[in-house]
Amino acid sequence: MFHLIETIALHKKFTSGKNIIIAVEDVSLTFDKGTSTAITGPSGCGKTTLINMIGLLVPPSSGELLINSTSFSTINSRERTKYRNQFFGYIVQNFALVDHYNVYENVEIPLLYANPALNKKERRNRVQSVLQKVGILEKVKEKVSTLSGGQKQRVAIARALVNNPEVILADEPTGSLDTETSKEIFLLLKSLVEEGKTLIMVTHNPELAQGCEREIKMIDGNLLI
Amino acid sequence: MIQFKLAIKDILKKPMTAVLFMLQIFVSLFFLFAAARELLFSFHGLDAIKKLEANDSIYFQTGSTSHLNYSQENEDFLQKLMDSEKKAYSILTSVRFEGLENTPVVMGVGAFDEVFNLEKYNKVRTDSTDSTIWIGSKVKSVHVGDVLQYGTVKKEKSIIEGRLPANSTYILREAMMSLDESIVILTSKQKMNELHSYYYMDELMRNSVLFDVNSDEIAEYILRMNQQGTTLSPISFNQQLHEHYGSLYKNAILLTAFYLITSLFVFVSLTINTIQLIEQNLQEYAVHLLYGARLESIFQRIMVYLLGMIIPPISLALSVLFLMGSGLAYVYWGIGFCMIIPLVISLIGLSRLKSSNIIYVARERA
Repeated sequence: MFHLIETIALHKKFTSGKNIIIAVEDVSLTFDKGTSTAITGPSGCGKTTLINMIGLLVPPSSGELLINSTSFSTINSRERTKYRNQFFGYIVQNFALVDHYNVYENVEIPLLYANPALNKKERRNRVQSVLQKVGILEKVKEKVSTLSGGQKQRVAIARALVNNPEVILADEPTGSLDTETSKEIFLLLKSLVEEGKTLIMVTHNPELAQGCEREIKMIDGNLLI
Repeated sequence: MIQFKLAIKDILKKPMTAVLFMLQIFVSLFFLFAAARELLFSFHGLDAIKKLEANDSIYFQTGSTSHLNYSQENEDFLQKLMDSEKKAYSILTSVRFEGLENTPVVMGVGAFDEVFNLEKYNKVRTDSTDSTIWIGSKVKSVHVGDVLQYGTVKKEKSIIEGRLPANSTYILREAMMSLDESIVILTSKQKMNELHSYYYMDELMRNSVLFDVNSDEIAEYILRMNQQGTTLSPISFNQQLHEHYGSLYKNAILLTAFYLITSLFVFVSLTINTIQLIEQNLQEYAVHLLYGARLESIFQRIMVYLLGMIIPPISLALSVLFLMGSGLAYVYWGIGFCMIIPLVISLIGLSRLKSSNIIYVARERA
């Protein structure tokens, strides 16, 4: 059966001095197109490491990652970068916005590296369209440092979506937001899944996890069955 | 092009920081280049001193000059000593070219070229009937390729062959002199006689220096010059060395220390400040890496950023030094600085970024 993403015995260990820390141990999972998955578990259980391996940000120590049935174990860095730019859209914990950029400049970043390259007008149209979608177009010229937490998260989501990725990887997307704003943001993410995007989300929030089609629980680097 | 624009934005992001950084580089480099210039001048002089010292050189204090009385026999003796045996040289500084009265002329006769490391510029070495004209690095009144006419009893035209390297020096008695602003004629005693006959002979004798000679040869020289009408008292260069040249060594050592301290200061402050500037931008670089930039793109951006910060103050420091009359050698130094420093520091910045967890940098520094 075809899976959009498949991990086969993914394993990740880190070395810190003489200590070896196993962050993720033999995790095998599949993710299908248009589904939403929540990865939950206590702090330090390996959720973020797992999502970072799936997103090609951290190489696994062993195991295999298949995207569209293609193995990413031996793929070169150029190809990885291309996938990071076009296949995945990241929503990073704490937003990871560039403070001295305005909303437009932050959202434009993935488009600067798009292949084929886009001209300024095309980039402007894409940014405006995605800002409209996340409901923050009126703030386009504002510095992100002046925005509220919810507005910043909308900008981060817009940046993740601007290259029209297949998969949205969200690490604690509501972690620093109040309850009301968290709900709004989650509804926004759910609407993207309804449009056909695949959502893989790390969260501590049980309500959000229950709102996803599937919840994967982790503890000490292992999946909790 | 995008990285270029982003790098320019990086510079303009904090204009005050950029201006202060550039000012610091300008001041540091100005002193560094100025110290290097003095240091090179000292070292050139010390090279010549070492050569004179190694050859146990003798120069002369001139006593009374009576009626000059030249003989062919004594002239032949001088010619043999200076041209054939290369055991003596002399320096004439009173010669002037017509129309160029304000440009000093240094005429080096005999082994002058050998002692002051100018052999490769001297055609006389292969043909003693020839003369070679060069100009110092700062001479502006004449140019390479110009033709100069000279000679007292016989006129001859010679083309200016080229420029001597900056900081070329010679030693006249106790003083280290620069050739940078002089027209330099390298000639033989034979050629000098042909063009000037006995004119300048008095100066030639007063400024003559012998080396690799024994006491009999010195005595013969003094006797023959006495017969020519000049009383000479020999002075051993080595005996005078510590008295007259000690300060030169001391200056050179002080300059070296100053140069090393200045270099260290420039390099350390440049590196620290640049790393700080890169650190300030690190989160932004990490965000770009996260969303599709490659390390090469970030390297380009850091390079352009650093070049943009370094080129203006280096150009300014070089221009000021150039206006003060330093040679073109400093341009190469400047280009070297412009290329090497950003390259090294970009690599440091890049390795910093490469070794970091970009997600961590992107989110924790936001």
